[in-house]
Amino acid sequence: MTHPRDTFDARARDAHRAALDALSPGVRAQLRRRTRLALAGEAAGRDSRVAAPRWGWIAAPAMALALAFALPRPGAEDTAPSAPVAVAPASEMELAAPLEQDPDFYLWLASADAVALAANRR
Amino acid sequence: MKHATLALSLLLLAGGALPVASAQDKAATAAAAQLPAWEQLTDAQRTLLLAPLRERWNSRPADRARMLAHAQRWQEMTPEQRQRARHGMHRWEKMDPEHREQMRALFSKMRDMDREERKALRAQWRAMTPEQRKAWVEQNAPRSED
Repeated sequence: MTHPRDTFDARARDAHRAALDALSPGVRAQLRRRTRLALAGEAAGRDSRVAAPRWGWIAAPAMALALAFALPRPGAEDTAPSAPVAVAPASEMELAAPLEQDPDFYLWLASADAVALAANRR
Repeated sequence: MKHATLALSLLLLAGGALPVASAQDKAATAAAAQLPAWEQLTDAQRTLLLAPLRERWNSRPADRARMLAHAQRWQEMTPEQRQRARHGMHRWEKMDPEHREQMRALFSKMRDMDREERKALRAQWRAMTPEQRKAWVEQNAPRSED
């Protein structure tokens, strides 16, 4: 039997994943960078008590939440339960990235063939 | 076993999987430099570090076989291959969705070609208009995600 909370979590994760998939690589990189900065700020703030990183700590999850709400989610019919989980799992995407595609595909992307094909992009 | 394979793959990737630190990341980099190697971490720290992967593994059962196969392939690669693959992965991360589809279709087609055939396809691709490329990608889309 599936607990209602499990269903809620699963739907929220799906919605979050769809929201992330809808982002451009540039925006995703910016989100990752802000998350890293926020985490770094949390550590640095203990010593230096610099205010800026704390704003980063607040801004990164807020930005993720805003994107999760605001962007269209392909295939997502219901939108209600997506918000609470949108804050954290950016690192999940980042950590699992090497396993997302065939490593031989990544290897090929660095090849002369792939570089030449990409250079001819119109 | 699965966890060991995945964990080892992540270790192999740790040097290159994450984006290069900018000047703004210096505080984080300095803090990271004080942390010990994986073997010196506590079990709790290792569990904490692997939590995102565990989350991914548990939340997407349909992807498990693929993730495991990819982890095993990373392990089979030589260090030099892994370095180049990481470079390719960073290129992939910067591509827009349309470019990704193109590259996936081209890889799917080219991986079984010999040198001359690849050369011919490169020339064919170079001569195509954007519309022709789009049609080619649709006709040659890989059957699975790989």
